[in-house]
Amino acid sequence: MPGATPVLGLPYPYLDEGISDASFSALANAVDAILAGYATRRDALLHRPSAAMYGTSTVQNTAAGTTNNLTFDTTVWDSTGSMVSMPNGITIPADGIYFASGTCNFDNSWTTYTSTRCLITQAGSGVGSHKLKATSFGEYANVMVLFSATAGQLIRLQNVWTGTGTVNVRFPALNVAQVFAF
Amino acid sequence: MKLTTSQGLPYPEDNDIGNGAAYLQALAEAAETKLLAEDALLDEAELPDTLIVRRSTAITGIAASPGYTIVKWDQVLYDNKGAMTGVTLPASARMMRSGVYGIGFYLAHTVTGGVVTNSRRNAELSWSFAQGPSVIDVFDYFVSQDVIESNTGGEFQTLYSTVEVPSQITGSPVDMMLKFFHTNTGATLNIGSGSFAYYHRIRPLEVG
Repeated sequence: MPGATPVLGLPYPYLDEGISDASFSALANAVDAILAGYATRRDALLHRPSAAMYGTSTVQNTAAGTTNNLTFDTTVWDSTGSMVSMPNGITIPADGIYFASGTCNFDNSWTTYTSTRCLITQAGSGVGSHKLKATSFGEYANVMVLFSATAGQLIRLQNVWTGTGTVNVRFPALNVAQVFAF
Repeated sequence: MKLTTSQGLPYPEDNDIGNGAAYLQALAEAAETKLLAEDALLDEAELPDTLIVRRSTAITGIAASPGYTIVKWDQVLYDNKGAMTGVTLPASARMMRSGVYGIGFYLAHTVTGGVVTNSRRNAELSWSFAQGPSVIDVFDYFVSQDVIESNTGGEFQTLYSTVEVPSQITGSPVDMMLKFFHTNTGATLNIGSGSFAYYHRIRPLEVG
């Protein structure tokens, strides 16, 4: 009956027990299995899912006083190949903690203009936003949040502004990166 | 007995006299020690220190500066290393270890009273710690600040920054503080429920 290390159970023969090639292969295979598990975990750490998308040619005329979903037309990267849900946003691939950032660029096409707000939503609920008072120039509102998310939730970028006329949103950008999985 | 050059795993030399079983046991035990150390490092990387705290109730009646209000959190949303264990809420977010962190917040606030044109609202991130066995000195380090101009309706701010919490303070908890002040004189501001702050530990320090 062989012995084994106390935690990982690496096998070895007892003292004075005869050893054979089986003794070596048992230990080698046990170490191999553990190292293979570590390699899987390391690969997951080195390839935490992330994605980014933005809008290039699309100028989105958004109405005042309502929540406007922004859309995109270009994938910057998508580490899993399935996170980008064009044109709407980025889908969470696995339960975990995520960091998201978004940019809303507004030009000065309004008639009157009071404020503008850029929001990130998680499965339809606001998770963070940034609001700016109007200036006579275009506005660049950036929003960044850390949050807990579950697989399948859609992360979107929205804008709300107050004033009259329309505002043109140019080059909206959305990034989502997993900090770690549960 | 010799040792491998990198990890120090034992193996017999050509002329060693001994029990082969004993050599295998020594190798297995040495391998276990090394594998468990690697396992611990993977655990560390898989679950970095992370905290999310929020306001479940509003903070009301914040008067215009001079002075600032330290936003204290009354609800822990996520705390995977027990950083807020034993902390009486409301409190600032607490860090327990040195390292490089990403820290940030989301603040929603409203005004009670009139909006003063060109007044502003500042939200500032800093970290601080107390030190000294008999005389407590409080060290406070600025990290970053976001400023917006007062406006009608609700206002919303986010900010994210990286910060190094040095090794000298390891063993003494560090407060990640959010200071808020405004210049909207004649009115008070309210920080709304749902505001939150967070940190995640990006990496340990290179040295120390």
